[in-house]
Amino acid sequence: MIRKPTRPVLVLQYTILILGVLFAVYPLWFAFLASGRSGDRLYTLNLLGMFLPTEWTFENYRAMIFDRPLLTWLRNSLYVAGVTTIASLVITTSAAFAFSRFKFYGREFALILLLAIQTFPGVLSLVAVAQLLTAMGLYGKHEGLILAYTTGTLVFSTWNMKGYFDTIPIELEEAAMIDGCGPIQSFILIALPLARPALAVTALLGFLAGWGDFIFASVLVPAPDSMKLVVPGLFSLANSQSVPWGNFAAGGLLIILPTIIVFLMLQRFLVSGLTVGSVKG
Amino acid sequence: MTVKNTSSRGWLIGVIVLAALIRLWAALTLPLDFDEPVYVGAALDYARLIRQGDWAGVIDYPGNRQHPALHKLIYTAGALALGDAANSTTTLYVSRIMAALFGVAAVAGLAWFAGPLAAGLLAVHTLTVKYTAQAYLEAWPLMWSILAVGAWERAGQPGIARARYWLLCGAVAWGLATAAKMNYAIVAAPAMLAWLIGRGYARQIPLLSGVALLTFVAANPTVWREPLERFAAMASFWAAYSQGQEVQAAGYPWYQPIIWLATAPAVEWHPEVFFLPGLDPWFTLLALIGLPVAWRDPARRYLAIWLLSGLLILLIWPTKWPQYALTLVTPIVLLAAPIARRGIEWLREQNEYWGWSNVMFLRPPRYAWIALALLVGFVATVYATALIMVTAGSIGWSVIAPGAGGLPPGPIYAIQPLRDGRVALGGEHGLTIWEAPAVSEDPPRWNHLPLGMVYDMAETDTGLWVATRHGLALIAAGERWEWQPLPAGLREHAVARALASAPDGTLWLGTNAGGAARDAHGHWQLLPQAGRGGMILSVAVGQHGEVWFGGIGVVSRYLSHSNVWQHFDRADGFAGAGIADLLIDQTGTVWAATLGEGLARWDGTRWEWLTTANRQLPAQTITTLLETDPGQIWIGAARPLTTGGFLLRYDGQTWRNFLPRDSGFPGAEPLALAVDHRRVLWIGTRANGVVTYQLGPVP
Repeated sequence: MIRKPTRPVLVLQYTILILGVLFAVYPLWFAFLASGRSGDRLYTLNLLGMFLPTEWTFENYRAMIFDRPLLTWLRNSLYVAGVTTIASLVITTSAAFAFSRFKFYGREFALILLLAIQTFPGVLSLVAVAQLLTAMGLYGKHEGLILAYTTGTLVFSTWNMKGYFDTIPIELEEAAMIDGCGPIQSFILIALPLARPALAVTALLGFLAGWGDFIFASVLVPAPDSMKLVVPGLFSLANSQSVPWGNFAAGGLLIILPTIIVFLMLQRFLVSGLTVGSVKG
Repeated sequence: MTVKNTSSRGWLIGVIVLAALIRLWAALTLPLDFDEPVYVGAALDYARLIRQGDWAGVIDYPGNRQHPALHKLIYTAGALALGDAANSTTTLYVSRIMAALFGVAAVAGLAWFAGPLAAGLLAVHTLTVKYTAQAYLEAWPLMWSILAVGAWERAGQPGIARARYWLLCGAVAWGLATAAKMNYAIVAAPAMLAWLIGRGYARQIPLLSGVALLTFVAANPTVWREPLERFAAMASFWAAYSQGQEVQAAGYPWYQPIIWLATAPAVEWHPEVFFLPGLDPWFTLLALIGLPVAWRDPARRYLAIWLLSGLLILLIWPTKWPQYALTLVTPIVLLAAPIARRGIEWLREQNEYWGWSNVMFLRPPRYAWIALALLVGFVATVYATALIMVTAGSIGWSVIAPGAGGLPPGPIYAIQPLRDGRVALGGEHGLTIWEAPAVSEDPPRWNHLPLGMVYDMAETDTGLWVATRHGLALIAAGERWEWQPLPAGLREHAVARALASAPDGTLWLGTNAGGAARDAHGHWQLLPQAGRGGMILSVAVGQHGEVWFGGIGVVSRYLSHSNVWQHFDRADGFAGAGIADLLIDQTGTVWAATLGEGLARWDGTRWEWLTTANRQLPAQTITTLLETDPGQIWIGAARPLTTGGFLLRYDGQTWRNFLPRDSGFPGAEPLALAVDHRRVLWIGTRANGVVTYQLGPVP
């Protein structure tokens, strides 16, 4: 039996929740207010203006969309994140299916090795990755960045996908094989459609890897402006003398919206994908 | 060719709308391309001749040595429709819109006889989009060549009534295409002959050729008088042009047409316009796959001949401009479309059997689509609004970049419109004289005189006086100059810095050690009091013998008739900054541009200061001043601490700041302002060359 909380406990709970929500949401709201303020000001002397849009202009949005190469950066990020997503899906699903369904020499060792790689902080590999890409002629190119991001997402996604494939009864694939399917057909036509929630998680991780990263994107594709990704591009608006805060805020809001939309699109698969794949293996 | 008509009206409308949107977007956003000023200039020339009723001038217009007149005459209709608003910018955009309309019509024409898939390929072919959205000579002949093929396809359909009528229509269309640009007919000729022979129309060839030729002559006024001589001149021009400096400088290899077709060059050149990957190479690949298939089909063999023979002609022809590749786009999309259709049908069959797309394709909830639509709509609205503002604001503006044409690199410190219509531009690398071309299709003439750094200029009856780092130069006639000795008594190593001429022929000189005056008879008078004997940066001549000198932290007023000097300095607000420019407006008010303290104006009794604190001045470093019309003061200012600057217009009440977002002014730092006899405002800048702005209708 669940005991109903008393009123003071309820008040305390709601107070903590409201404060938590404010703490989480206010930075976003603050950026929204700054994006509509003229004159590149982060703050205003009007106290009410720090909480409500007492003045508003679309000039910062206009400057970011039209004057600055924000759309080019968005396109670059979309390209890198999109190809990273597809590459992650292709590689991790096939690898995870093999780990889940086939018994082969070194399987356990490979799975442990993947986990061991995961323990290595990614940023420490940055110099080595840059050297490798330079040797391959991919430094300063989006394709090099895609390679780096795809390898970065492999470990978690492979484990997650493997966990999910383990939950799918193998009898379904066996039945398909009795009907004439080969291993590849049973993978593509039977296993993959059943693994949609895990695919959604893998896709999202791949997309976020390419969309929100700063360190790899700024080091591996440092210039020119037309090649930059959106986060390092936004950072490059600031210079030693000034930071165009209004532009910065408007650009920041514009670049989080695609992520939110991707979340909305994948939302119905995400919860089950994250939990099922991660707790069973 | 039998076209399998599986398309619905919706697809057809969709393709046409897509073609229109892409071309409209490209027309508004593509930068000015190499040949556009030439064709827009021709349209303006034709418009002027037609307004004057000079039809002989239209016929004898000397600018059609390379390409026939028709497309330029069509652009002329746009210039005429604009009326007084016709200038290089407005005519450019109207011409682009016209080209885009013809480009859409070409897509619609292709959809008419080849179906929406082939039309869809043409709609998104980026090289075609580029050259049918710019004021080039491609859109019209492409449209008519497609319509010609369509008409002949219709004539070739079995059992068609009035086949002869469609054949004649096709011939007329070929004539209209050729009257705009001959390349299309030349490249397609072998294929068209093969088609006519293959369909049993060989005996009609002389008649159809005659109709096409008559149409060409009727639509091309250049050949109305002395046609043989004009054709000969055209042929010799083509031959010379293909071996000329421009073609040689481009340095394209013989196989360049293959590169144009096997890549998506428009996407590489304009990533900000074509922001998605170009599909052009894939269309070429599909066309190559479709080549043997078409060859085996007698009804479509002419397409294979068109592509192969056309490519051979382009490979042989020495001129390799990218727009020439458009002559092969029609056979490419016609060959590619059936292969693409076959691939799509195979995929559809597979999917219908397995139903994979139903299971795997994401079906986002409605609110996700709404959020996406809102985001895209917001970005598109903001972009479109800004684009319209910039496009409308850029009317009348143009930029001559340093190094472009004959303008040397470096800052432009002085501009002097000359009495004969030329404009002298003085800068770091000497003096450059710009002369408008007699025919707009020709480039302007640039004459460079290596005088060293030029600070200022003034024109008198004697000639053009030029203050340079090396001394005072006089350009009396032609382009020859002679150095003029500075008056004896001036400090050794004195440098002429500022000049102004008076109506009586007196030349007023500012140096780095006071001033001097030279009367019309050549007698010099030293003025050591000017600027209290220091450096003079500016001189202005007022009425009744009043002359003003701008120095460093001091403005000196000299009443020459009474030989009285008056100095204004710290007590009047001049705290030490240099006076970069002085202007005496038509009301007699004196304006002083200071390099750091703002703008000062003298109403005859006191100085009033206009600064960033009390006016809408964006910066206090004022570099140059000009009055274009009574009360209209133009002000150039420099940005503090960084590059670039501002151009402002002040009418005594309101300030207009010309920003890159709402005008064609690129945000450069203006150093010199002048208006020529055509009412063109010339703005010399520090790093962006020269910017011009048409103030109003050409008188």
